[in-house]
Formats: sequence, C-alpha cells, structure tokens
Amino acid sequence: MDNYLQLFERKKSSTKFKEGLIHEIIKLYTADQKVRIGGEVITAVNEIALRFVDEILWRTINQAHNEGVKDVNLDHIEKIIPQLLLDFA
Amino acid sequence: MVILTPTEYRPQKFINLVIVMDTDHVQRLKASLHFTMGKMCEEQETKTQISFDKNVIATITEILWQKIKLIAEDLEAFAKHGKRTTINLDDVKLLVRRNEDLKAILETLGSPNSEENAKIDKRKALVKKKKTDIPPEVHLDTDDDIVTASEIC
Repeated sequence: MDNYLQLFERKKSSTKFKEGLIHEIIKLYTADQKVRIGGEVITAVNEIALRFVDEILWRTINQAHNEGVKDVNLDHIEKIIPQLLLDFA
Repeated sequence: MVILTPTEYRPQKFINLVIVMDTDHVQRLKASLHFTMGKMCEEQETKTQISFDKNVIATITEILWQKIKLIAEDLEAFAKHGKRTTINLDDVKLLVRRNEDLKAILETLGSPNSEENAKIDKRKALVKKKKTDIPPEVHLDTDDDIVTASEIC
C-alpha cells in the first residue's frame, strides 16, 4: 500500500490556483469584517483545496474507468460525492 | 439582495456590504475558479485519455465554491472561539482534525518555523526565570556518528 505521499504524487496536478483567489473567496464569506487571515493560513487552505480537487478528479476518473466509459458524466460525480464529503470532514 | 446604486455613487459605509452582495465580484471569482478547474481537468485528460463533460467541470467548480465557503465560516468560528481576531494555522489544523493525511500535510507546512520558535521560546523562558546568561546554543549534529562507507574502505 503506497503511503499518502506517493499516492498524492501520482494524482497531483501541476496547475495551481491563481495567487489571491482563495484569499478573496474566504474574505467574501467571513461575516465579521474585522477578522484577519494569517499568512500561512492561505497556503494551508490552498493545499487543502488543491487536494480536494485532485481527489474529486481522481475518483471520478476511477469511476468512469471502472464502468469502461471514456467520458466523465454527472452520474459518476453523484456516486463519488457521499464518500468524498465524508472524507473531507 | 442587489444594491441598485451605480458603482461611482456608493458611499463609503456601504462598500463593505456591497462586496458581499455584489454579484459581479462573485461571478468573476467563480469564473476564475472555473478556468482553473478546466485546466486541471485538461491535464488529467492528457494523462488518462478520459475526457470531462462541460457540465461536470461546472459542477466541480460549484462543489469547490461551497467547500471553500464552509471552510471560511468554520475558520472564522474557530478564531472567534479562541478569542482572536486573526485566523491561525492552529485553526486550520483543527479544521482537518478528522483527516489523517491532511493533518500530516499541515504538519510539514508548520514545522520549518515551529522548531525554531520552540527553541527561541525555551531560551526566553530560561532567561525570564533565572535572569542569568543565556546558555550557549548546542548544535547536536547526529550525523557525525555515522561512519560513511567511503571512510571505511
């Protein structure tokens, strides 16, 4: 069984989010305007979001592959979603 | 709720409100996210020869958007709970407490600084307690004990 680092290396995509994108979105949804966000926090949340997306893509591709289909459909996402949301708290 | 005043006329006190409810801003951010999703899907397509439908990419964008929204609300609640006005790395670690792999990743993020900080804090505490000289730094270089193969032969 691969350890998590190797698994992530396989799934990892090289594209990243644009610099301040996550920061902007978080700012949108923090209700209290006075709350400030630490520097490392943005990096950390970037990592989390990146892993989340890698995981979605990986699982949907897996699902489509197991069905023998060459296109990813909404059905595949439906099958993935419950376990994914449970895994990411 | 949409504020109908044109952008030039918005008085200062409304500007914070507007940023939250301004659908343009939201649309632009979502579009940027959508674009990045598209690029990631393209990359996976070249790797695996399995293509993504357009509506799938849009759905993934929406899922991610909601996820980040939840993260933001949680982080803010954690910071408030700790009676702080700044969101900390500790808040993020609390966020991922249920997921072992994410916890490990966050450990690597925090550790390069936290070791030095721990050392600095220890030395400071010593100085405060005894008010004596700061003990000299001891560098424990464990690699000295290891005899390399080149030294033997």
